Amino acid sequence: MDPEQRTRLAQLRDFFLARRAQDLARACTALSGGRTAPEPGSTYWDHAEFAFNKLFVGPVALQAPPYASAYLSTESRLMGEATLTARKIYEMAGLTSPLQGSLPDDHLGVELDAALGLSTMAEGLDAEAPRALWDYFLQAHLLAWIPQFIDKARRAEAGHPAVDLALGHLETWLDHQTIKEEGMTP
Amino acid sequence: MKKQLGFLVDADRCIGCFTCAMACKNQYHQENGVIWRQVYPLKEEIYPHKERAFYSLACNHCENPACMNVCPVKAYYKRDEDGLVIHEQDKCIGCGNCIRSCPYGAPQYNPVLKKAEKCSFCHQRIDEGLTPMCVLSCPVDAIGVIDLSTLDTTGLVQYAPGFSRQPVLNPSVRFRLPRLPEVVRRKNI
Amino acid sequence: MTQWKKTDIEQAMDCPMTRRRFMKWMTAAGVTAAMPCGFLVPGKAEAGIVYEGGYETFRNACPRNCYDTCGVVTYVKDGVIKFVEGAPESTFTRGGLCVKGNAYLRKQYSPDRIKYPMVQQGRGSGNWKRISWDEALTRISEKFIEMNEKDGSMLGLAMTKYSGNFGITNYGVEGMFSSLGYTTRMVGTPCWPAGIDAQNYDMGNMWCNDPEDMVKARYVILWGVNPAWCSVHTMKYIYEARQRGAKIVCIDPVLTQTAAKADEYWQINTSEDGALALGMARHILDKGLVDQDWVTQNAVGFDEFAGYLRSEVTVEWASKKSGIPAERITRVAEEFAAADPATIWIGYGMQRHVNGGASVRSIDALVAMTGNVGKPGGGARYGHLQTWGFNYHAMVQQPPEGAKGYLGPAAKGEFDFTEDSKGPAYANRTLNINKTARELLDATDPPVRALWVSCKNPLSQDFDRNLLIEAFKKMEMVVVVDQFFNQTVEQADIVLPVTTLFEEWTVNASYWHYWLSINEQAVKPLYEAKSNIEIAAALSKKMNELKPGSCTFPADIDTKEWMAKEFNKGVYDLFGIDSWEALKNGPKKARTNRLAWGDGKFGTPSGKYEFKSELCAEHGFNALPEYVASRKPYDKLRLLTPHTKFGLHSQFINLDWMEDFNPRPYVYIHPDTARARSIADGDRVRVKNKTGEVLITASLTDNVPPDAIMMYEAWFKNNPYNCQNLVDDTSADMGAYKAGAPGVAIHDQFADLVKA
Repeated sequence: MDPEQRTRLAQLRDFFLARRAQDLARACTALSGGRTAPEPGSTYWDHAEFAFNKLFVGPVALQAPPYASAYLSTESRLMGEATLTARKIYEMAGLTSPLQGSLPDDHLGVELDAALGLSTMAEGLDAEAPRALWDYFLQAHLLAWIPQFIDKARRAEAGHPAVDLALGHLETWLDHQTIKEEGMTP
Repeated sequence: MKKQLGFLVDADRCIGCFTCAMACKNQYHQENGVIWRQVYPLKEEIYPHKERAFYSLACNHCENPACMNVCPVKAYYKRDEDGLVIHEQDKCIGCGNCIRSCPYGAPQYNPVLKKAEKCSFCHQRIDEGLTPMCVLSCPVDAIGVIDLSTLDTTGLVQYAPGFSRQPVLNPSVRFRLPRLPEVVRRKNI
Repeated sequence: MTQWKKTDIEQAMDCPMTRRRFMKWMTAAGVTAAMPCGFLVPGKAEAGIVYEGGYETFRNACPRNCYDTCGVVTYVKDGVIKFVEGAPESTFTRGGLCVKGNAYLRKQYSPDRIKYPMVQQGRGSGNWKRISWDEALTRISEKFIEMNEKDGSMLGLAMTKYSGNFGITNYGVEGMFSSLGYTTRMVGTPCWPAGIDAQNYDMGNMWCNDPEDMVKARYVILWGVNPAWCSVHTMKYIYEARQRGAKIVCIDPVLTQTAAKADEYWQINTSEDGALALGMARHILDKGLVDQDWVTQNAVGFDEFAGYLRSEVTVEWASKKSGIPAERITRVAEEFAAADPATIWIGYGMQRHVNGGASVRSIDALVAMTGNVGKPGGGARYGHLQTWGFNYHAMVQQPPEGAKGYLGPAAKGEFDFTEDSKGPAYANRTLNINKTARELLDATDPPVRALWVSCKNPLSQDFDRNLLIEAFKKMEMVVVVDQFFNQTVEQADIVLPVTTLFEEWTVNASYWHYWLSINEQAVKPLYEAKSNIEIAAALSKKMNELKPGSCTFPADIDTKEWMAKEFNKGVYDLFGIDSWEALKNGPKKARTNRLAWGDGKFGTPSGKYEFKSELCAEHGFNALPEYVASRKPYDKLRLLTPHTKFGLHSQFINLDWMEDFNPRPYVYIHPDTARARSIADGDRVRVKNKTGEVLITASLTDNVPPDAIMMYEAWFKNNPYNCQNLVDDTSADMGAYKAGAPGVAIHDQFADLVKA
């Protein structure tokens, strides 16, 4: 992963872990390469926040739950097998979520953060183990659900250009990993 | 006769509360739409009061199971010690033969694993001396575990009205039929 | 060098030893703690707790408004609940739950659970912003302080709360309100107050035998109650009674599931239960089947009652009113009187009428005159509160110094065991919970400005829904504490995420059986959910930060300690335990108090069973259990809106597991009634009356009589269906005495319908 992609990954993580309009504004500005976007504080970002919450947070029933567990079985739930899979993978990399037990480990933002860490390890160290772990996380986990999530988010009723921007970048980043991975031993 | 376990469906005691169906779901977390135990209301031709009598049905662990007979990879086997029909999902190739062949709809398609699956009689619990979850959970003891080789069949039938008659398969389920109350309705309303 | 394949990784995930080997590789490869992660942090390689059988178990109790209040055993692994079972120690639940209890995992881990405090930009807009707890409590506190300054009191703040969660520590919501000052309380109960008062007039308390003793009954009348749906665990005792030779008679306007299991079912004309009971009483009197010894020793006023029966009641009249043939009335009356013991289970639906309390009195009289009160296997069973003698530590809080309120006494709810305060003349302003819409709109001086909703879902469950929507519009602030985005949250300004039973410490009793259950915290609260007492503590902290002395609720609480504080010597003695910890081994049963009125010492002014109750007359009713006319129909067909087996009020039906078995609501119509309106099975119909309308699918069945239609009260996800559109808030007769306000005549509603 080149530095630009790595930066992208961090920005996407920040987007999906956003708590409020300012966080979304910051993340989107970063994703658009610092290009001028509507001023943080403008109603543009309020609308982004409303859409973000309708899709990913609540209190209404989520239109596009951002958790692996919601897609890796037909029973959309929190704290499913996928949560524990993610948790174990983090553990094997020596990482843990500070909100373990309250925030599901398979939340997209957390997984993107893990991707950052695992891919760095895999590329920075000349060793099998970290490479295999990153490989597994990407192939058997991230690629197994994020495309479905992106699709669901795009088809959802709620929407906003800021969200589309993030989804687009997420998709692009994912595509890059796939192209790179072609030809490697599964 | 060899030991053959099966379910006793006491439709007389059964209150159609769906606890059994949900207990199974609670235990195994089947995918949405994959229902191992279903509670069927009897048609009004069979029981005149709509949605007031039910058959709770899962797998009938037949003597001569259709599923086992049509499986191309021998993913089904019938236990020698108690006649339970077990599906080994690891061997399953998802061909759908069993799903198409069982007249009772017991094997169902799991769209995530792309394999068949069905009621297991909670055989792992049986082996530990426990009862299946549906039997444990029923608040009125309307589902029971029976051994056909020792069963007192007084008042029980194999083919309750509405239940498909399959003498070749010989399902191991037995029913007690629901009684009717004496109904006093108001006249000239 | 070993090639780490996918299967190796999977193996490492499942096997701690392989995992350790993997991590050695990671260390050897030079993994350091300096990682670019912005969220994840370095974790310790924990050995991990090894659980017996792989699971850690906890004790919980279902805190819903249900007779059965089941003990639950919760199986946890890796901090996640894997499945639940019923507590095997309780002979009442015997290891089982019900269709709702077995769906609890879906409730706990639904992606739709409310996760964070959120504020709605424009009530009803659907545009929500996430805020921190600190911000939420600041907004709320600022509003409360502003109100206090404007009105000189906290009377502008109202609470509506009832039975969404009966875990005892949840009375901390009432406690929170007391600790803020004198406030407005919605008091009363939509549930059972008319019957409570009736039993209090007759016997001096609402008190029923241990339901497990029903096996001893030789005759069981199930009167307006549907245990096959609403108390599934009691059904086995009814079956056992029958096995031992008892006759089971079911009286209900609808052929319910229970009716289908009875020996004899009577399709009574709704709300004429009083007439029917009096008709039976008259016949028993005529036939000399009264238990004269019992009546002489244990009752007052029987002669007057007998006089009333002789002059005002005949079997023919009762037959005409109730629709039950005279020969049936006489036969069952004789059988009932001859059986020893005989019992009647009076349902709550039966008293949701303008004459509900009077009807209960008539049925009580039937049980008493045949000498069946105070007998094992007998009794007029309705409910009890014998096992609710907790400290209510969470509920009892003091108002801040200088707080002003209403002058005069406040009404008390039926679960309020606190003593009347002797000190200040100030009190809360109490409004009738059964007329929430009207009361919120009419309240003035000061008006109700802010509404706090917890353990209740008024926009799904309260009556005269259209009026309630108007009332909500009047509120300056609406705070809703809940788990799911229901119809009330839709109209909130601020929503606060609350814990489920698995995420909090509390203790639970039942108003039917005699078991006590502990409720342990099994898992961490998901996201930022807090329990009601944690919310109270946090609010208090914020209030005092902004205005010192404005709230007396302790700001630092230990929820486990607060659970323990509910216990007292009375509870320990009743259950034969030394400490609440004994309940970790399973629910415990009360050792005594399980035979209602076994010693003949009634709680009435005379100390006897009062066929003639002066107190009842003082309160504006008849001293004798005389017939009171039912409500005159205001439309063509009676509308019944009872409970469904798939939900408990607005809980459970919204879960997708439940949708598998119960996907949509129906209105149940008799085929003749439908035919007269050209309605076929499955048609969409419009049910209408003066209060509102509902669009719904028709299901034809003669389980309902031709003069009534029925739909179940429920909240379906993504479905605007709400039967409360059709229910007005007309009061039942009784309820003010012991429950703070009269009940509500939920089943005295009328409507008509057309094909949509």
